[in-house]
Amino acid sequence: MTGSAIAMMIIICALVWGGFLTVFSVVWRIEKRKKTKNRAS
Amino acid sequence: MKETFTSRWSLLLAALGMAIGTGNIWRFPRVVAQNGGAPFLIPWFLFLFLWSIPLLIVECGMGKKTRMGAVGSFGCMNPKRTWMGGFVGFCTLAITFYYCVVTGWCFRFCLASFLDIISPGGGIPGGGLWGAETTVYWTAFNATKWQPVLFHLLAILASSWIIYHGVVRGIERANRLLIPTLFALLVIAVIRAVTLPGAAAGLNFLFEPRWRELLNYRVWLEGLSQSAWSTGAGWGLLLTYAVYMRKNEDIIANSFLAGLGNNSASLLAAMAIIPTVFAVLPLETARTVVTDTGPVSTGLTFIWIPRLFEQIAGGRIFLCIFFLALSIAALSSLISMTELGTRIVMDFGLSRRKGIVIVGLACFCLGLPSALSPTFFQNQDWVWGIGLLLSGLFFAVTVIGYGVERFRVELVDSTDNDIRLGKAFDIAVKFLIPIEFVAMLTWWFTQAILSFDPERWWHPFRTFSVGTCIFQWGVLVVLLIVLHGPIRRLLFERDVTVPGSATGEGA
Repeated sequence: MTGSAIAMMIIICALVWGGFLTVFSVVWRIEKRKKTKNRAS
Repeated sequence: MKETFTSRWSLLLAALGMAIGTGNIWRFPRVVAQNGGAPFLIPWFLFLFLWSIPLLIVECGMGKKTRMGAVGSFGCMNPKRTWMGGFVGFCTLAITFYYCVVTGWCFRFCLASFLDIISPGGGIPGGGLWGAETTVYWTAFNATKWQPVLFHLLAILASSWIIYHGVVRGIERANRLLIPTLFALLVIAVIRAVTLPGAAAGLNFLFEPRWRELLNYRVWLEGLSQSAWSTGAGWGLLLTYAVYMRKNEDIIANSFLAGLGNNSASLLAAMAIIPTVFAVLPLETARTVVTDTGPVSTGLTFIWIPRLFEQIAGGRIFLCIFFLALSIAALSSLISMTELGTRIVMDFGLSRRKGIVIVGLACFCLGLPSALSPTFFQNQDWVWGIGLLLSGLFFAVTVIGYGVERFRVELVDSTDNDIRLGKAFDIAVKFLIPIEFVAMLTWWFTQAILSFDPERWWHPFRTFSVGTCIFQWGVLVVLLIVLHGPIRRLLFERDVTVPGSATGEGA
């Protein structure tokens, strides 16, 4: 594989999978916080 | 009282199941290869935010606000636009009719690849895919006629059986099993593909940045079209699932996750298929094969993939994994399509059971011509595939009529949501979506006039003509306008407590 193809692969994968996993982890944390809040109340 | 999804994760898995379909595994790798690899991925990713996600948000907002299916929700937003909901609903159902056939093909090949594992000699009837001349195998399968019809029926029965159990015990349970399995299978397939000797050539083909390709308008329009079709935005499917959202459920983050999850699955599929092709075949042959459309676009998936897997270690198992992933993707989308039809029927006051019977029978009868005739199949794919772009526009037009800012303040940037979008959403709905629609429609119609059917592009009874689109859409719109009054009466005057009916722009 050429260097530019490797760089492009990293960028695309980071954008697509990274984007998905970032939003997923944000939602996960929000849901966890809501659960803890509900239990406390 | 409508059922609701029991948790946010259940809704998300259902939304992912809706978005991830055969288009991700079947169409995406071929279209990437045909459009130069990496340069195509840039517009494809960009248009996720400029077409698909804004429309997914609109769908979610409309479904959550009105708590009615595709037809009723348009009527709630503006009584004069009920016919637009009818168009969106019928367009997706028309796709469902032949999508059941496609799902049947996936089931048939999945079964054949499974039988080839348990009976390596090919002694069991229905197997024999392994080592077969796949073009002959595909032709023989279609020539029997009863086989495509039988598997078409099986696909309808499978999705109907799931939605018969309702939202929680049917849709939710099925997607909890199907979607994690699908992602696991895709990851296994990618690991196998990229570890094959020679796979680097495929990855190089897929990711080599050929920047000059970005100057080609075709790459941009293909990226936009793939994003529009693959995510399910503007089909009314997420709207249907949003009807079953819990009261304070988020819209924005969920729509982003559905869109990004869809693109993640597409990228996984491309990274599983393209390196496999390049690992097995010589470079030039590989380039031809990854762009091969074949009969009814089956070239790469149903003709080449079985041949390629024969040449890799553990090929029988990986072939079965591939077709299982394809079948799961097809079924998870078919569930949402069947639910869309059933929800529309239920909005007219019928029970879920009656709705399923009506939609199931319609799918079987109206899907039969596609199961028996590839020409009819291709015509329906062309007409209603382009029709989906019109459906997307209708969503935008309805929200523009309602007031984009009002829609955003009431639903998108409300306290229920974890993220705020601001005016970017207004710009996307008001300007970008209509402009993108015009660009895509002009592009596809120009192709029909100049290359698909230059002699008779105006003819209403040709497979890929502009005339056939205008004719079939025209018949549908006229019927919907004629039946507008009775449809509205059946939907709204039957039940005066329909939520949202008193808050619509024209109400």
